[in-house]
Amino acid sequence: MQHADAARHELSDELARVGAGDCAAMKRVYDRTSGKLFGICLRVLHDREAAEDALQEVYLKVWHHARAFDRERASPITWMCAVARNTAIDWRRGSERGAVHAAALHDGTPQVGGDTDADILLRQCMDQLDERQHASIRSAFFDGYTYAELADRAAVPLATMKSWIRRGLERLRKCLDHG
Amino acid sequence: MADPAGPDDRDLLAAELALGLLDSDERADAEALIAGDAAFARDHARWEQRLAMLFDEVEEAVPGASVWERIDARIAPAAVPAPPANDDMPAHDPARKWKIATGAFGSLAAGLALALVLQPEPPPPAPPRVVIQTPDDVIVAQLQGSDGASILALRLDPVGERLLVRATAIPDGAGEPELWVIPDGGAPRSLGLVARDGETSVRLGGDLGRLLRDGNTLALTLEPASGAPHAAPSGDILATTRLTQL
Repeated sequence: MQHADAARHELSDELARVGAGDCAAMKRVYDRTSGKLFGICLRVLHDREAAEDALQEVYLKVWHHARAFDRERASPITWMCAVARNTAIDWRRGSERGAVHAAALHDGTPQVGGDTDADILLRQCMDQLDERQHASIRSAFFDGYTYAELADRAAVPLATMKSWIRRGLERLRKCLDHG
Repeated sequence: MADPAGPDDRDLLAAELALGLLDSDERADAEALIAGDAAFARDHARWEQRLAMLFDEVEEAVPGASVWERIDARIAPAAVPAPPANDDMPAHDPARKWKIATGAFGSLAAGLALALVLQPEPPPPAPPRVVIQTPDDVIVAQLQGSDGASILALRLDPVGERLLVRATAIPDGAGEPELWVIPDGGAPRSLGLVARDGETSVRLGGDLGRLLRDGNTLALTLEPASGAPHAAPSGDILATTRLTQL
């Protein structure tokens, strides 16, 4: 955990330099985080070229908004991941979602490695959900689908999809909060 | 889930917003709640934190070297104007991104950010500037008409991707209210139409977010509903204010 704290500190310091217009710091931030953020863009877009375009936009946002990042209130890598997720989802919505297949609903294989306690807990809690809840929550998060879109894609009534996911979120909350 | 009843339902609504499950109307309602209800804002932040754990599952991947080169070309000091191939967001029409309340961005649980004070410009008499601080230290500013009455309340989201605009008392008149940002010495750029009542979430696509800064001006005009966002204002100016960064 100490290592994680130090890493968070360091990245926050680098972002502060980026916010001041330091290009070298920007390169270091890119080298350190682009693998993760590109993974997120790929996960959302399922297309290398589009993911690279989105990634460029992500880092330009980081460049322009780093000054606004508040290290007291957020983890730097979580902030950057959220920027990547939102940018990629927005990118995909903008380019019509024709090319994305239902495969997105089924590729929830968790990556093994880099386990922190939080990772393990989340995995345990997600594993408690039934497969549909699991897949739907992932798909909402990474594909940016609304209730209506998820219901459409799973060919179930909207109310059914809502109650699946709400029950899943309730279970997730209970599990994450109480271990 | 337009009006959540108990605290549990509210917490679920916060989860649904964080996960991006809501359609655009529901999302606008929920975002308005964030602006006005500190407990709901906390629930939402907690869910964003919980869900952020999903990022840990994503496998890393190595982007091509050209990505950094393109970024570098855009941020390097004294960069010569980028060649057309390096243009911002090649596959996207930025205008499409200005549509109101349709952006797919979830709000982020990062800290705020740009604190804006709106200093009313002429027409005189210049009303006092008003800055309201919510319990969450989010700076909210008001746009006032020439009589000093509040017309719009504005709030910038943590990463400057969206401007939440709440109409308080937009004067009657033909046309729909359209919000503009006017770069110092530049031409007005439309931020899109805003609703006469309630909240509008204005997505700051392309470089619009960058324009909300010191020295630039915000203006509200009445414009025809069709064709928005417009290339240039044509209607009555209801108010203008100059932005000052704290």
